[in-house]
Amino acid sequence: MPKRSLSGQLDAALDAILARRRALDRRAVESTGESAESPEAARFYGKRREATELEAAAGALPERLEPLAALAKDLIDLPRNDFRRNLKAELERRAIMSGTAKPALEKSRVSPIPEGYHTAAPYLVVRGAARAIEFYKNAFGATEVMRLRMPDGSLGHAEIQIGDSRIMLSDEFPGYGAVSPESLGGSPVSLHLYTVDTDALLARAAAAGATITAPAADRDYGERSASLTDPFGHKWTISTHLEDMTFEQYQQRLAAGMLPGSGEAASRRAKPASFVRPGFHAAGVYLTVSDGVEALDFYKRAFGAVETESMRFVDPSGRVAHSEITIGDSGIMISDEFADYNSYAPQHFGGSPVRIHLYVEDVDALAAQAIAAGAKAIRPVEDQFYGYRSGQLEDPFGHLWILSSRIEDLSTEEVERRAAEFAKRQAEAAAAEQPAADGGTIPGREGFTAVTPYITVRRGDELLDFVKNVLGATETFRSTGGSAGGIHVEARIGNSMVMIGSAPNVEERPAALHVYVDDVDAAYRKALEIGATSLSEPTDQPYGERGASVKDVSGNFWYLARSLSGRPTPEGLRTVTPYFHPRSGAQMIDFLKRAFGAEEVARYQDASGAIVHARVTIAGAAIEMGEAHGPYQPMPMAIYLYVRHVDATYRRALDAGATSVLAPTDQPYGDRNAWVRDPEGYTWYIATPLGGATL
Amino acid sequence: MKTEEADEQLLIEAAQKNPGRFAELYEANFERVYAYVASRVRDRDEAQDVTADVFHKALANLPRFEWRGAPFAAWLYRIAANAIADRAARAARERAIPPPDDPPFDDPGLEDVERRARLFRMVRSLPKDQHRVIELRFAEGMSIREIAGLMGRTEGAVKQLQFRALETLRARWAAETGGAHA
Repeated sequence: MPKRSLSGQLDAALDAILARRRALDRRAVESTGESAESPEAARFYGKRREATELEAAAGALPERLEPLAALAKDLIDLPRNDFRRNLKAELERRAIMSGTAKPALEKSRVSPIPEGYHTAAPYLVVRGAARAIEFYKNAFGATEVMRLRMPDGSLGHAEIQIGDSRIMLSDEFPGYGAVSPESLGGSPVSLHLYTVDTDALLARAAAAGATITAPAADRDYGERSASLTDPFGHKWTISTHLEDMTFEQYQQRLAAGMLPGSGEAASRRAKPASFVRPGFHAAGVYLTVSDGVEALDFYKRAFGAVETESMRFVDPSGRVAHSEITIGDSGIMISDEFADYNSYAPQHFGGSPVRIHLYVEDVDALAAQAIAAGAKAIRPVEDQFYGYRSGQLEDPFGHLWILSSRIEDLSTEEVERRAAEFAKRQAEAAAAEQPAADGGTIPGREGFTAVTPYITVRRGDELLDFVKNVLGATETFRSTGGSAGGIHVEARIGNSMVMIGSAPNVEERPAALHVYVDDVDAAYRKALEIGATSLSEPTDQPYGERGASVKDVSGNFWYLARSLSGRPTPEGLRTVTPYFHPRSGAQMIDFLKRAFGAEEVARYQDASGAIVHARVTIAGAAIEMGEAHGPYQPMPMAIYLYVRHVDATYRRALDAGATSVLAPTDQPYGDRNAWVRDPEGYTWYIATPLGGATL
Repeated sequence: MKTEEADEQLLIEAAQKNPGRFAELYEANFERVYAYVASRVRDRDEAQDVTADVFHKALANLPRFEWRGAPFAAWLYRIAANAIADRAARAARERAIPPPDDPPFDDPGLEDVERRARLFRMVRSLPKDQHRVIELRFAEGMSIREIAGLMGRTEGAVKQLQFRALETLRARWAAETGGAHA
């Protein structure tokens, strides 16, 4: 009889116990499918059988092992540790919501690197992070560790675990530079996953909806690997480390044109200790850079990275085809751009949807070192509400790094409580800075309210004729200039201002405006005389106004009105109010609330739920709208919006779904402004007058 | 009254006043409930579902719990038995067969359940590496090879750890109970 170690004999017995156990589970599952036995009955009878069959499974053991096997039989129902912890967290959350409990706030000296984390973790930005978590569970067997939901329902931060590695992710927040591969059109970072069985994981991921970009194959560097793109645009390579190989062995193999899968190579294969490449973890990142040699030098100086120099492969043109560095306990791979392999640097995409999150001992010191080496601070190193001190850097190659140290050990509940508090403070700050105007004046911009229509046309003089003759406007400001011979005019109509921009080849942005006049019929007649066309004749409206509408020669819609009782312009209203025709009024209102802190004043819906008329105010200045219908199709006009803080409002607008046309810029005409386009196509010039500047 | 019981009673009263203290009752009883449920349902997923169900119900009904001398665990076992019976009835309804009149098990020994629960708790106190191996092997159902890959050790080393872990458990069991396991 061959001699086996005690631990080997014990393991064989455990294998038998666990295998019997799995078979019983399967049988119970199958039996419920076919028989009329209830699952509990099946389980019960299964258990009865189990007791005797487990006895048999263990077989004859040395006396010393028998009590251990008996213990093992009692361990087959061992609960999962993460289940116990998660259920506890869930119950605590619920207990706290049910009322009286107060989370204990313990502040103590904590290790700056939390337990269970490696130095480096990929931080993915995903459009639809919640769906992505489900996908990563299905595709890669990830388990969800935590998620932090923002008040609007988006995911501010989430963590999943794959193998021994944590992966962090969040939804897109363009205002904070967090953009997804879908927004960027790709990614300069490929995620690397080590698995015990590449083929099985690839099949599982493909079944879950991943697109295979390179099938599983044995690679000459001693790994079996495959590549895929997930449904959210992130690139993944999954690999199994097959053999430990020295650089010399690899070179010899290349010279001999030999693949590890071939008989000779396989026979020589040194069986590795792990399916994970030495120096790496289950999950890691592969960065593409515009200059590999420079980047390697930078990462050494900035982050104290150590390069495994034998793994640097340089092609004949001097480009780095592959290299490996280690930061802390984590391996990171780096290469130059290779179009053939669809690998491009961040510059190609205008950013990166994967940040590299580093847990470090001293975040301030490392950030200073990285900045001295040439990194740019994106977000300063600060204490964060979730118990960490962290900051964000962009390296000279466009990759984004989050450096973080733990300063407090907080419970999930405490983090959530603080997150809610943080969100509340943000909202309050936003509300405090929102009302740029009350009662209608902008400091430094006499006569303006927060909301001013900006009408862009090619024939500015004709439009000025119209507003002067039909609406009694007076010109208050004009500037001409620019090589294109454009003009910018500001005109007062009643108690309101409008801006008119004109240039021969400008893209016209006609507006729809609700305007109060003294005499609707007279204004209507005059309008037609100078070339406008009638949209509707003067009529008394059931809502107490006489109204008519015309379209001027530049295509602007004017809804002329006067109140049937009292003064022509109802008390408290502006002479001119922008009138929007969005496809979805509800979405438009939602956008205005989130982006600009608008307040909904009134909403009228017809029987079908369509918004016939609604009124919102931004810092007291009104915008009206009725959903697009019949002749009143979407007319995405431009609004000049005065706010307290251009940059903050700009970020909120992007977070609310607007796209950026121009990032905040100081303009020569004395405003700092930014341009965005909202989801319905309306253009917003978000502006604040620069102190001391004159027009 | 035994001190253990007195402690438990204090804990229950505290949690009734302040639900935040429920976590302590949970910690004291998790393994029991899980072991009880796992011995009566089909698989691990179901054991987790039912266990979660039991504690949620216990938290919700705690204000109505009255101390009558029976241990808190007995109340939890009752909730668990009902939850399992409910599931059986529901599953039967869904599959259009009559539910069993009685739960199809007698009481396969609360002693067994208590013994396992105690062992489960003991696993948590193992040295880190030993704990990890036992957790991966039994709770996650991984093979020695997978565990070796995950921990970056040789299979032999993992087998050795597993052996040592069970040895530690046996020794502690003997020390705590003053007798051999089961």
